[in-house]
Amino acid sequence: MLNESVRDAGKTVIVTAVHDTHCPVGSRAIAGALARTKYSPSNHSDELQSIRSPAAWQQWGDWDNGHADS
Amino acid sequence: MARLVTLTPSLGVAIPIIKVVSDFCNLRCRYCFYNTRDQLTRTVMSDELLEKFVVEYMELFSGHLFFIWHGGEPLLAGLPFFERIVELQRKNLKEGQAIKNVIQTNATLIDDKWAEFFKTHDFKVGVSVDGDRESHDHFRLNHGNGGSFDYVMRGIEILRKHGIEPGIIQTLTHDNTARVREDFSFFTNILGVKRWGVNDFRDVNAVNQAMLGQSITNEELTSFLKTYIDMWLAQDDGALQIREVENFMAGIVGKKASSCTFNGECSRYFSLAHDGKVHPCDRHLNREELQFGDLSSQSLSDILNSPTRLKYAEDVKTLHPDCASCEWQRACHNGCTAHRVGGISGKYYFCETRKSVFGYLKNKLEEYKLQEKGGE
Repeated sequence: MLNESVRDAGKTVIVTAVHDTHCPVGSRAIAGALARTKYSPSNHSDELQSIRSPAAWQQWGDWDNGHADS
Repeated sequence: MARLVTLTPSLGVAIPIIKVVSDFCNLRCRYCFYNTRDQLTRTVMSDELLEKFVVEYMELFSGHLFFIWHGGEPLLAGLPFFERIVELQRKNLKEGQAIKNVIQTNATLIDDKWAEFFKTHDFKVGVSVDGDRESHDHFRLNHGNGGSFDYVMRGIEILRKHGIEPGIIQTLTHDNTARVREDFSFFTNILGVKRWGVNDFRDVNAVNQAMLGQSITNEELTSFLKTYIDMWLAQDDGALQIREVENFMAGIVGKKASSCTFNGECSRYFSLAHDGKVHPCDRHLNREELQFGDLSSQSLSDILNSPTRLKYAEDVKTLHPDCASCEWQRACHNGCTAHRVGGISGKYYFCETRKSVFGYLKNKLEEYKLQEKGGE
């Protein structure tokens, strides 16, 4: 169960999320991110990053891969 | 102690970043790394050069082919130019090939015709947005020094009306690091974005004198990324993808990250200017010694096999000695070559940020695993 209190911060809205103990904070975010690594090759292999699934092919380019950063 | 590893064993499918109008742009973003170049002259790739490129590229490579259309502002090339692109691609498509077109735009020129075209031809559209109005209009200005926020929002609205959900690129500067919470909330709760990436402004060679003082530091980037991770966890949306968090997460679980600045595959990319000049990346356009060749007078094959390109690929592979003992070596690969101090073989400026954020997210992941275990 996720309860959200929304505070109007002028031009933007900052959302403070409060979770109950049955659903650890961030569990869905982390589970989602881990699931998306499923089709990536191991970083211990010499295999190049490639399109390994129809979903990955569809997703490729969402982030302007020529300018990846940080 | 870890050994230095070979990072780019083969070329694979090379990925072009095509600057169809080179530096020509209708905006004057103060941090743009083309600011020292000519952004006023309307320069568009000739039809002859465009055809030569598409034909040779599609002859050289098979499988999944990528075209990243860039600028300046690529929409200034005009819709007929892009109609010609898809015509050439269709004409030269061979069995076993699939094409993905990606375009990075400031979105100010998008109208129904552009959106229909992108939808019809399945273009991935990336839009540059720095955050809410205050953050965005701080640096992303038009010729008259006016903010571009309203025009960009209108462009995104038109894209969405046609069923296109754009990816977002946020550029992070010194001034905007103070607005991390406002901008995260803007993207997730106002703009309703599910996927975006962050480009950090770091003018390693102090090329842009107007932006001295805006290059972000390790401390600023570390704090920014940790705050983004905290907010991403608090948002707790399994579909919310922040490129940087995804890249760090992939490395922590031993998987190859998607971004060239993490996965060591930088040399797969090349930048093609409107006049045929080829460089490793558009971040290196000011470095003439890194020019691979000129498509107006050479074949693409000769250019990609040129001594300059092969040396670049070797330099990218050679890690800094400090990487040898780093536990994140295979997840980081010494970062972006444009942000290495002292040249391609130098050390990644944001090395300390990388180590700190890898550790921070790893701890979060371990906490999550403990909670999962306790809940069983």
